[in-house]
Amino acid sequence: MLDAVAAEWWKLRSVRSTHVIVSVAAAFVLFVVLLAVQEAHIWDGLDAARRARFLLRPLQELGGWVAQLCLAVLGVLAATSEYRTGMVRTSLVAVSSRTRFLAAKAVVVGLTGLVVGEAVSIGCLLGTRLAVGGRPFPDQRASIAHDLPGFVASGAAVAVFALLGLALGVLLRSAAAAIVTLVLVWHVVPLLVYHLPGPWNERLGSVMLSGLPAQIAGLGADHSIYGELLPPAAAAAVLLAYAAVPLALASVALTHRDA
Amino acid sequence: MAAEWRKLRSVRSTFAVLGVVAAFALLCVAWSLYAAHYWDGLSQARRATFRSAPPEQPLSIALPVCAVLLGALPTTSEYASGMIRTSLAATPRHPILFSAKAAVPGIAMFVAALASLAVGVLAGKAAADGRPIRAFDAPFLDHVPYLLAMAVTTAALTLMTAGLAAVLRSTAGTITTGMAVLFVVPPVANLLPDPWSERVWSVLPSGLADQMARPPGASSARDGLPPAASALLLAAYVVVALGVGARVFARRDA
Repeated sequence: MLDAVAAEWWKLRSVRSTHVIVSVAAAFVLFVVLLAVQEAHIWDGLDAARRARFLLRPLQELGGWVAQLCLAVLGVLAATSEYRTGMVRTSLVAVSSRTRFLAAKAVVVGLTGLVVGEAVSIGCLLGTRLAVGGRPFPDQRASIAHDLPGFVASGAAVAVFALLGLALGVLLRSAAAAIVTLVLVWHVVPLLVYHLPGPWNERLGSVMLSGLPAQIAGLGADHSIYGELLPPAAAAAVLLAYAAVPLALASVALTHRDA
Repeated sequence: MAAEWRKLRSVRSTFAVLGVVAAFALLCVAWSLYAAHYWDGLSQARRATFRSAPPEQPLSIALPVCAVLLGALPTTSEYASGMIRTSLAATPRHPILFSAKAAVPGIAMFVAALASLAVGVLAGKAAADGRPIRAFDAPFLDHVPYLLAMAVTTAALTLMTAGLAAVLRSTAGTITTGMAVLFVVPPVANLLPDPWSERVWSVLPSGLADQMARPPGASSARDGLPPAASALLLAAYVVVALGVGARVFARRDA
């Protein structure tokens, strides 16, 4: 198993798309911090009344949101690039147990997603706090320790997106189809759900993947398109299910279909 | 062009894309029926303030996604399989092959967008059945300019993506870049400091349809560009994307 994981890590590390994806995610953190510097600059020019209504959110949450899409593409490519070139048949000769093959991919993609996701998400939190300095923005008064769980959960959601991407890549075998499906899950369906009449916008909005981290951390969904009906434990379970169920389906499909 | 049309017509992904468009048109129908049903259950006072998303709302989100897909695949799928070299052997003049690869999906997307939007709006009118629901009650002719603007923007997105695809040559890269322009840039632009958020917002391709022709029943939330300017801007985007795409396509080895 360890050899299979090492092989997958080697593959992931050596392709150009991985570097591009991780660089884009990292560059976005920088961009978020620059915007925060600009916001801090605006804050200095405001009077007290307008300062009381001037929020920094959702700026620092955008990093995790963008990383979700980036790492989902990484997960997709881990599967579909091998199908496109036909190298998947070589890989399956080398690792003949297909569940082990998928498990190795899932370990590598999931851990990469987790590390990059946490780095981006926490980087955005710390970076924006640093940029804002001591300025008491109305939504930045809580301590970092108080805000941290939400950003850790958001980083974990990035890993879930990466695994979902891997599963869709194995199921659909086409980068185009898998990426479009992911974009639907990531943003299009939440947008549609948001436009539904109540109470369904709230109910369905609560189980949207990108809206789960806030619920896990017990934060509200104000100023967002998501709902806030789930208790933290249930939200965490739904989050895990978004990765586990598609991976289980992918495992069944992989073991039963010709490569 | 005939060759590109045959290729486009014969691959499964085209049907998948058109199937998605059709599915979202059906979703529009379902949405309209639901909105009409919901309206019936409201009191007089709440009816006056009831604001519903317009009947074509599901399509207006899905069409750009489909446009990006259809613009990218004719070029990137041939690069992925290496068939691009065969195509170039058959049509040695690069600019002609490239224009066919952009024009055929562009026209197809325009027709698909217009047809599905018309279905969505007509179904909305049928479902509303005379109920004075805002965004549903305007006569069909009032919708036509907006529907045309939407269809033109959708086709323009397909053309822009075709240009991008010739530069990037990668399905994943092209589609992800397209999605980033559609979904990531607008909220980020919203966060920019003040005169700039409005300025950047009004020049983004995803918002141009609303600026070329205002949807009937919509409140004027943002002022943005005058219709002629936004149409020119859209044309400029297409020309630049296709120009760069054609140049790269002609200059680089396949």
